[in-house]
Amino acid sequence: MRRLTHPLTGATYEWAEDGVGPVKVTDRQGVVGRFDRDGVRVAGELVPVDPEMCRWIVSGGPVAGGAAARSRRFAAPAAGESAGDPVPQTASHGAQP
Amino acid sequence: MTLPEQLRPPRGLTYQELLDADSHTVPETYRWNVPADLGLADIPISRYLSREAHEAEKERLWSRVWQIACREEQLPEVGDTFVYDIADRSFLIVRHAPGPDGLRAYPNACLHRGRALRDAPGRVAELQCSFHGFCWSLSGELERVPSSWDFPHVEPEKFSLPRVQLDTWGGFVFLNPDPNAESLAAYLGVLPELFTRWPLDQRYTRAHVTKVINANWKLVQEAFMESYHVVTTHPQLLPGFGDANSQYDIFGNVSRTISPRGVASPLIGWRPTEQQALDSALDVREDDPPVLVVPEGGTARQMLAEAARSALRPALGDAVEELCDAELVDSYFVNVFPNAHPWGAFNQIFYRFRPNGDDHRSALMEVQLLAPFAGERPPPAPEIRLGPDEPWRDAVEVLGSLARVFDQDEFNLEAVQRGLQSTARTGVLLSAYQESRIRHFHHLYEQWVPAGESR
Ligand code: FES
Ligand SMILES: [Fe+2]
Repeated sequence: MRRLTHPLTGATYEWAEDGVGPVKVTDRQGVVGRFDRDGVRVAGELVPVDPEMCRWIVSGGPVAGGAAARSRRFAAPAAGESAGDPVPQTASHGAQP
Repeated sequence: MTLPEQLRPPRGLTYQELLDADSHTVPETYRWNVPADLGLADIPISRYLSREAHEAEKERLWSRVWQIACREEQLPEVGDTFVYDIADRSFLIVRHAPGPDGLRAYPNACLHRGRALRDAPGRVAELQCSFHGFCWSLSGELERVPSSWDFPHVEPEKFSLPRVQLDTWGGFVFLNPDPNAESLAAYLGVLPELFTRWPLDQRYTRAHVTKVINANWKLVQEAFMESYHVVTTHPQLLPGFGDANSQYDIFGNVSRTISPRGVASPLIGWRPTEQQALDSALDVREDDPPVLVVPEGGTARQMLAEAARSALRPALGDAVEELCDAELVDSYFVNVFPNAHPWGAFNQIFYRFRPNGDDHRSALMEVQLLAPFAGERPPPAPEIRLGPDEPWRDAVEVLGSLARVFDQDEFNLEAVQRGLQSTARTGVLLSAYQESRIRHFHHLYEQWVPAGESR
């Protein structure tokens, strides 16, 4: 659910269906672990994990869209606007170094 | 100055080569390519940790350097005041007249027994001290002294509020406590030229969040001066972010990085499709509904540019057609020594970093989104303050996905401070190119705060 492949390790990171973690990580061998937002292991076999990916998955929430997906570049700046505007309200955030 | 050729990393396309493929003419300033060779020396760690360094900064840096106090839009009407605090000092900015020359700055202190004249921003008719009632006009002339018979030694014409140098650029109010400082224009150098196509005075503050971070202000700032950390701190960006293709430039008191978006990082060992690059840039997950679809033969950069162009059209009108892909897509971040970070093009970001009051072990990181607008200027967004334990994601309603990116940055900052307090090293190691802007900062810092005083 809301799955993202780590571009360097190839492990998948997703919001767990049962919310345990709430991050579920599956490595390329299929070993699974559950982690909290800081990458601390909560359950499962998998040990090594990328805490920054866990933070990204958790802050993005279980469903697409909403404020967490709103881009500073694409969002029209009207006050009180809701997510759901037709133009891409999604994340752009170029890297924020 | 140029870097030795052997220091140039194998990073695929250079940023200049990427500009060659732009669909529009690229502004001349994008073609400036000015790396700096400032040596390879470590940065003394004591500079981040010691109270002496902080005291030296107060005396040698903050009391003499041009620094941003606020935005002009925070004082739109005659009588508006703003309190700017830096380390242990406080300044009062007052709008005494309409127009660009209508602002003044004073030390925020009553000339009687010294009470701060104002505790917070607000609109007033005159500047009356709340302790015994000494009162000055907005333009600083002494107006009243209660029981003036008791002050035969106060000559009103010699008792005006002392002025502090103030000037404006880009809608920012700068001040300088040093009466002998060079002009702001001389200090800023090329900065206005970099921003001619994106006038920041024609923006309004769409979001404003300030957060306390338990680390020295320089450490926090340095985490926002390079794209070198993206590979580890923001790995989700890599399919659509050319971190190692970034260009780093140094100009006097100003430096910049331009990092291309919509292209894959050369550091990942596979080649994402254009759709994957776009999805990464938009945080579309593998099972999310698509937001934008790259058509046959299209590119992620084109799609990002088109989306940015349509978002900007209501504010900028047909002028958006003149903007090149790089202006619409790439991350372009600028640093004005010592602590201001306006982003170029239409990125909208502005950061400022300061010590948290007189505490050298904690910092205020301030973020404003400066958005273009059409018609009447919208009022600036109110400032939201987050404490050290409140994460950036608490501000996701106003900062959107940016708050989530800061959450990743924040994960490291206190830990850097802790690590430096424990390290066996005496210096911080910096890379030659990708961390050259941090080195440039320290190069300037050493001119302002000589070494003997900062260690
Ligand atoms: S790798 Fe950069 S601070 Fe540790
Ligand atoms: Fe970052």
